[in-house]
Amino acid sequence: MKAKSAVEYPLLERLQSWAVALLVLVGAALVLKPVKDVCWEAVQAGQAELRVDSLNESVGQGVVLGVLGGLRSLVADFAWLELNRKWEARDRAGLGAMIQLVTSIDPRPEFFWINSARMIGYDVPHWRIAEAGGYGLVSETEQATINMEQAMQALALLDQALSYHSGSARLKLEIGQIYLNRLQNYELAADWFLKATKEKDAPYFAGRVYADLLVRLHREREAYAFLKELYLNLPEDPMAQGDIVLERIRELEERLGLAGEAVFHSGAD
Amino acid sequence: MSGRIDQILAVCGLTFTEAVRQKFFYIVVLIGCGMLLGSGYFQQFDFGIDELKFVIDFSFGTLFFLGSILVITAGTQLFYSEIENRTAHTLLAKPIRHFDFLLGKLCGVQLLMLLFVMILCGLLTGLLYLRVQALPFMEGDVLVRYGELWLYGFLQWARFGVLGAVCLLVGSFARSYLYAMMVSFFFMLVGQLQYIAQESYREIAFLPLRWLVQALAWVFPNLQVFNVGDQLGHMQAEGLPFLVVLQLLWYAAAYILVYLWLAWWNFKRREL
Repeated sequence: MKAKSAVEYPLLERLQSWAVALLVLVGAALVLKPVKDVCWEAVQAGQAELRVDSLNESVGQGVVLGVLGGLRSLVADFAWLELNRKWEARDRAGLGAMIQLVTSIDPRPEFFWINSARMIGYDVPHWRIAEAGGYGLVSETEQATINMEQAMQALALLDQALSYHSGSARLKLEIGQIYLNRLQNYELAADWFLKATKEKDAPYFAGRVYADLLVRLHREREAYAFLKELYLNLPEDPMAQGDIVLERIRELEERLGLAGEAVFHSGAD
Repeated sequence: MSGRIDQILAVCGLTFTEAVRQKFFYIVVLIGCGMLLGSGYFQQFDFGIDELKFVIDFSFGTLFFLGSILVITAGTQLFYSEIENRTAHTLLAKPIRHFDFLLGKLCGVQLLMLLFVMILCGLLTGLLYLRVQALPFMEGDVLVRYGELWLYGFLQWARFGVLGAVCLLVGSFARSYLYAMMVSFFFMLVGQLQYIAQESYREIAFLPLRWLVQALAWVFPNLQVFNVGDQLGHMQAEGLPFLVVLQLLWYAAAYILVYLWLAWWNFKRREL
């Protein structure tokens, strides 16, 4: 009896087509893998949001990025307007959800991260205290707990932001400000201000604040050495305010009891 | 050989002529131009990035988004209409090979996409040039790298080529136009999101699901590699090494060939 060919079995024929297609596609993927890897590495290097750290976080972001491409900045802007509406209405749950949405859609602008962190760290504590009966009724311990909780949330958000903008002085300053203003932790605030000064877009004031914090921590000698170094490296720019730095140096010399040859010679004296 | 090339060119020319006569093409071009011209208006809603970066982002997004819709809709329609109207039957009864017919179709669609890309890139270049002239800047400052705007357009055109070939493959086995279009759209979506599967499959503990995710990464091309808008055009953009551009083009060309071959493999066995 003559054996039937695949053509006489439509299902077999279809399976054959699928098998050929799969084999060709897998073969192509394997052959093209080195080329794709090089391209993918180059593309990922320029776009931090393409790095997949966690599957859950990446899916939503990936859909937006994959479908909208460059249009995502506009979508994120409209979401930011909605976020502000939630903020005005003091809707805490809505605000949290919108922050998550905006920063997922477009994590590139530091503006979104910094302002969201400020809302969480500075505004939400007031709302929570007001909801609990106001400053008169809520004990100081409870207030401190609320402040601490919100500050930690803001810091977590900024930490997430740093995974996209690891060299951002603005984000590091913001973290330092939260440690300084919300948690009164001068040690950690000083650490973050110092980290900010090391970034190339650091504002001039970051170094002066860092030195102030060292003084508050009674580390005057360190502050003095830092300010001297800072002064010597300041550019010829009025915005750098070299005279103020020099003034601080002189104050510290007085405080440290330095005189004569021990004092700093700036060249401007 | 020249006879085959003539045949391919004839199919290409006919496909292109038919495509540019479609209202859908004009609508998409008009929407695209409208969006680019309106980018200045939308810029007032922008909070995060500077004006030129916003316009570049927005325009690249428009090119990417509308181009994908156009290539899939036009690609599927132009191929499938030949089957539905039985004109493919007439054409293939003549001494024209199945592969040449498909290649001609793809070239026609690619010509259409080239026209679309050139219109949008030309408009974007003009818009940015006018805007840059109005901005106060130091002599010698390069605020926009115009050549890179066209490079982005060219790379998207290569990506559209992959999608066009996918449309032919899907059309070669699909039984209805709508089905072919929907499957092609899903294919594009999976291709755009494939990188998530590729990057995260190691995290998945459930073994069969892990294999499935890995298989996805093998079967579908990573279309996200063409998403290079952030690296091009703006003065702060890092740029793209020439070698990477060549490799991207090679990646697209290889996949176009693979899908075209698969489309031919299916199409020649299909009863019209």
